[in-house]
Amino acid sequence: MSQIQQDPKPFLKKFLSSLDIQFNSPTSSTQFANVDQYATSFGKNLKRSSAVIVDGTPLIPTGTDDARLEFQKKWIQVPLTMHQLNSYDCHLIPGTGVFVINLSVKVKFDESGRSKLGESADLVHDSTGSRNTRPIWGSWFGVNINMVVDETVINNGDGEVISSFDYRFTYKPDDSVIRI
Amino acid sequence: TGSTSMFFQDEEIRNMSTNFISNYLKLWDGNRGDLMILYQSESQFSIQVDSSHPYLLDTTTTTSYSNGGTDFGNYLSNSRNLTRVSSIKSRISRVAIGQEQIFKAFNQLPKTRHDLMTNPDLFSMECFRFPLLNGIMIVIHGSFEETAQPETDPNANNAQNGPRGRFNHPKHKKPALSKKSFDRTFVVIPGPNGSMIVASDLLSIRPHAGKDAWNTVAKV
Repeated sequence: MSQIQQDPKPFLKKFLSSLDIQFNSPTSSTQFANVDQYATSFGKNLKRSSAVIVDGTPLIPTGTDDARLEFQKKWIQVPLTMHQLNSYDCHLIPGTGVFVINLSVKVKFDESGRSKLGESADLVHDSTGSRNTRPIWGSWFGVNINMVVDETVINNGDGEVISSFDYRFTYKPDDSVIRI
Repeated sequence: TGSTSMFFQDEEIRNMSTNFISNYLKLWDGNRGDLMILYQSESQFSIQVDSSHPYLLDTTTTTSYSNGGTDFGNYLSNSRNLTRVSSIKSRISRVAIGQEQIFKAFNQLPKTRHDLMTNPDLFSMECFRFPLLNGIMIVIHGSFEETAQPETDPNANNAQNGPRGRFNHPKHKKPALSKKSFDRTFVVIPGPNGSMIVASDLLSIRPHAGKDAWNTVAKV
């Protein structure tokens, strides 16, 4: 019985945290040489050819940019996130070597007005001298995620293993200013 | 870009999946036994409960529930929320495999009404190809009303095997029926003679959250 080892949970947690990475976090050991390196760290378990759908809109490869890169280009424009895994369930589909995984997740966004790179579109800056750039987390959104993931994820969660990724908001709090 | 309530990879997928879902939910609400033709010996079905999924607290309906929370009593004993189910035995036993087990699992869920025909706005979908088996993936999100208790009591086994009286509902006290929201993922593959087979069916149950997530106009 290797069913207990066949648990994609560590992979799922790692994948979700790859969506939440900060560019310059004082508490994190992760440092990125440049913005490209930062952006390509989001969802790096996606295959380049993945089918990616965010809130009902497909991310379609353009020119030289594959679907994963389109996702990463989109994700760097989204304010900083914090995902929490509430629930998941999965089936290994016989004869395919893949899991179908349904995740129930919540996410909150940094509503400070800053981008992931710490930039603000405000023309007038706060001049009180405060340099506190901690995120200001908004209310929780509900999200349902569906993924098709190679069975090999059990042994190696670092590879390009996700062949489809469908991210759907199921609840949007009405006090949020975030648009995706 | 932006939020779109329905996504279909192409016209063929649109036709197949909308037909599939409308017939499926009609039978799910009407007579679940009629759905068994879609399942075969390797088909899998399981449910999971996310009781802490965010939702808008509706103060007009909370009086019918204890503490204002949603009663998931009809679902929890079968819930395969794998963040909470760690024993191998439970992980295996909570997946129904093959027609017989799946039918039994269906009968342990409350009877329902999905207003897909009269109020399609309540639902959103993403439908795309599952190339490995020449199949399609259909993901539907929405809500339903519980109209009656399950055909068979999902908690009957627990009452017999579990410690008497301790965390169990008192005998004959049925969970309160209410609206729920759900997400459901089907992998549908072609069967013999143009038929369809459900290879995988994952149902997620959560507190009622309505349809605003996919119908609100984005704020500026």
